[in-house]
Amino acid sequence: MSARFFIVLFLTTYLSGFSQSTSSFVLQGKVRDARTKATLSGTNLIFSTPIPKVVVTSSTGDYFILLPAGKHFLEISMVGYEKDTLTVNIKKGMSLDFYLKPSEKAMDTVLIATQKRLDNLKKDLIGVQRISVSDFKNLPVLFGEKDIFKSIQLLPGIKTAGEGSSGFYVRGGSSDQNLILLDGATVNNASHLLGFFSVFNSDIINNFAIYKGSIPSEFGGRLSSVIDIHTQEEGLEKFTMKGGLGLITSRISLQGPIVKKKIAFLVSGRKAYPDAYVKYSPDTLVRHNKLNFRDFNAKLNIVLNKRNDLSISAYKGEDYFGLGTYFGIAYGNELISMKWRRVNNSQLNSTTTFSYTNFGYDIKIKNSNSDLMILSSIRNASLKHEYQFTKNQNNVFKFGIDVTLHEIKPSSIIASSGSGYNSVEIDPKRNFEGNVFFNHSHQFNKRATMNYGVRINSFSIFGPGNYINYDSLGNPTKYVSYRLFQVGIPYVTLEPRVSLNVEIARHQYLKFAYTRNAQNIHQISNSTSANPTDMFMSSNNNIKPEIADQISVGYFKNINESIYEFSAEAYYKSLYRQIDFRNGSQLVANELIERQLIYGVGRAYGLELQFKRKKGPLTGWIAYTLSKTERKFSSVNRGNWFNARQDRPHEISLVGIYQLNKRWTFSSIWVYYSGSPVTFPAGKYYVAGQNAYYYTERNGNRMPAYHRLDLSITLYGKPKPRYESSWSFAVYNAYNRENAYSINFKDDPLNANKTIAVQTTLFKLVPSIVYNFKY
Amino acid sequence: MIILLISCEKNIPFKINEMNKRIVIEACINDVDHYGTVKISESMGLMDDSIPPPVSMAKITLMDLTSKTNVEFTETTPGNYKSHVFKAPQGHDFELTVQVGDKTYKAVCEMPLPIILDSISFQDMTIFGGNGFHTLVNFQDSKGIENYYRFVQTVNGVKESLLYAYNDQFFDGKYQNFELFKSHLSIGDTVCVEMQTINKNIYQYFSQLSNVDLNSGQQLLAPANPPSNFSGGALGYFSAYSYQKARAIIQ
Repeated sequence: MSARFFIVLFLTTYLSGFSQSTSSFVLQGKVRDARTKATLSGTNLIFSTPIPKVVVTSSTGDYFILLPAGKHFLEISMVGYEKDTLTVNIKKGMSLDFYLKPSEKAMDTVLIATQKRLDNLKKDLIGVQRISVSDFKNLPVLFGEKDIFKSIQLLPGIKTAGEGSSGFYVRGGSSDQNLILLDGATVNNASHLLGFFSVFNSDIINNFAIYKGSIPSEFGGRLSSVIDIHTQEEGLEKFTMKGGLGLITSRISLQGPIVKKKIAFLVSGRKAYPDAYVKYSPDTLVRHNKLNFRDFNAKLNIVLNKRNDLSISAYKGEDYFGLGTYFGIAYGNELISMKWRRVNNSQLNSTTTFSYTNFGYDIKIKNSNSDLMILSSIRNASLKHEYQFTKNQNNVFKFGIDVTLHEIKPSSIIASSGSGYNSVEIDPKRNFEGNVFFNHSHQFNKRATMNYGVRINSFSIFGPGNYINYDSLGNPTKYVSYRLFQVGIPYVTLEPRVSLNVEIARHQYLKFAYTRNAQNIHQISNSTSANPTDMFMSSNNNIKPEIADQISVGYFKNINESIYEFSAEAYYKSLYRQIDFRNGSQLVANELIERQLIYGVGRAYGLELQFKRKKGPLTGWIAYTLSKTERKFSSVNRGNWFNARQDRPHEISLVGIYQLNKRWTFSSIWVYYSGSPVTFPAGKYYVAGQNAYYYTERNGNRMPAYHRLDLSITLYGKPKPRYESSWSFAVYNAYNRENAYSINFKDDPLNANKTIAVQTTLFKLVPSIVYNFKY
Repeated sequence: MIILLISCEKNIPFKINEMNKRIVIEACINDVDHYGTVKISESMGLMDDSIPPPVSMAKITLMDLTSKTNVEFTETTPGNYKSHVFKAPQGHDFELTVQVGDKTYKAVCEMPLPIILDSISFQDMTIFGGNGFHTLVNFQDSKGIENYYRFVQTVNGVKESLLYAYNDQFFDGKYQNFELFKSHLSIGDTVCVEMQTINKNIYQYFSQLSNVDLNSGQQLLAPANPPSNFSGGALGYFSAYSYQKARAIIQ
């Protein structure tokens, strides 16, 4: 037994009688952090003799493998932990928990390995990145608030929706085509402060995975990607307190056991107070304004017994933006998920998840004429039951079912009796969704693995409700009414998925995938910036499910004992039934919005290259993406293909982290991307006492290219037994580049006949300082 | 607000592919004055800094389709045309025909019913944490009828180019103290408000014109040209409207 980690061995009675016909035995258990006792997902267990086998722990830290009787040489590895080796003697089915010790290096520095060691290349599907939050620990960030959504935008194929936005585009998809899950619950709006921050407090996030190529069939509902985020499950053994103090945000979290080794809790809170500085504004108008957010996470992990555990996770966040006393908007998410995991027998595991999610806003307007509120929400409740059946080491089956009830309340106006406005109540729209999914992972031999599966999606209107059918010009043709509990004719979409992974030579892998996805919840916005008031629509009698087909191929190579890694991925994606709106549509408080919608197709293709250095004092990567994204609508640009908002041909990110010693770490990020397509006026004319602008082609122009350098220095406090602390100093946009956030045209104040182009830059050089601690 | 606190603006040199020249017609008749006006000009390149080129020698005819009478226009100054004296009764349909060279542009518009403007008053915005005064237009919206309004405000003799075009979708039948929120006024200002009741397509024109009014600062993904009611590809509009005026000094 190695001194570097501990093995706790449990011989369980219920497994002892189990045996395979080939005298193979089950070995199963969990892998945990030796210090915090948190489960570790994505850990590799490599058994090398007599036949090589690899198993990766699940999102709950569990592993499960069938091994022939005899001695096996085992190597366990995980990013940020010390690798170790041992020999296991398999004589009967048994349960073994492993406790990995965090590596000294990892505590002070970051391993920028988004895929873990060489084995990950072997195991992972194409277009999947598994990320531990510590991977991004030392990167410089705006205002010093770590944000996983800002960090993932440095990965190839993932593009920011713009500076100051937590939205992102994955392989030509729009920002509403990403499925974002927090402990299994869908997050419908992941932004705080109108997009400057995401709702995820990175202190309590354990790990997350991004699927942009092949999406496993247990996920569905969005076209372009899945971001599967898990909060921490630490605290079964001891208490920890973590936190950070920054200039505009602060956060604190506490976790620990309620009953040792049985029940652990986590609570965390975060608050942002940019309006604290507004008081000092020279403008008296600005002084009355408010802009802040807070959020709260709580989690309970309960180990019921050897075979069952339960976790309950909840989130609530609220943003507030107010102008004086006459305007205010509050918006936020509420999420709750309950997950019950059960080991049925040595081959079968099951997970049952219930989740509820609610995103809503309310706007209050009060002046002499109006005293009203505008309310809107999108909610769903979902139940998912899935099984994992491990027939043998080479054949793993996953299958399950989920049902979801959706409800969208479009913006309704509630006016007080003295108000100059009428109340307008728009009926909520409800939908019923059901999915059945199946996946088979089959390892042919040492070199080739195939994964195939299918997801069958059914989505229908759920009464009561009234609907109007429109023709292609937006004229009503038919009225349809649904009774209470009446289920409409469903849209059924068959979503096949297949991927292949072949080791073509030592440390070189070729991967292929085909994926079809359907999307039934659509977000509609006519603004360049994402707003909390963007409208959600579900598929109905007029709106059909959006569909995307993607094929991708990739080549991956580990170089020099996995110090370096090179990857190249190419993809082609076809998008059908994409939704846009007629030119000049009025989207606000429009009950008949559907008549403004138009439907078309899209295509996106690209090449993503990445070269990483994963070990040593200097780590980091360079990533380059070459891509094209287009859309086609019969009534836009005369029905020709045109560049989509997401179309940015060139995108480069350069990330470097240098660990000087145990106390000092330096890091830098440089990003470059082509400007987004934009519609600029082609001319002007004088009407109604002003210059009006004349538009010819949608997205016929392009913004200037964007580039920026960020630097940061992290100083860790002298190591103390129970207390860790660090100071982070960062500079955002270090060479003070004036990047264009928008370019507007207006009359020259000195000469009304003259037009000037005005470029707005959001952030010039922004320094920040944050103090982080852990107790 | 972050944008207010941190962002910065600067003027940049800008080049763009210019559009082809288009004719712009702005034609108005109303039920109060006994004449109509038409202004014809050409569109310009985006960065041109000349005055809009006037279009002279146009042949303009207005026809009251309800009473089948014709009104002729004559050019008063280059590009500006004025009709002979005539009456434009409410509910009548009018057709305007403009001939420039060998091209003809036509538009039809109905004279809407008036709404009575009671008064204007002023709201001190500082009590809400705002700035200055806003004008309130006081009137009773008629219930059960789709009404479309446009307000034109003149402050100290200077006509504002700010666009206020609204429908009564959210206040049908309600008494209005309608707030003109885009300009911040001060004590002593003389304010005159012209309340127009306009046609639905003219409302859509002004409402979309204000959407693409880039001075408003918002950037739309799909800005579009407001839909002109002229045939033949002319920009601009022909509006027959009913109006009432009120004037007051902020004290």
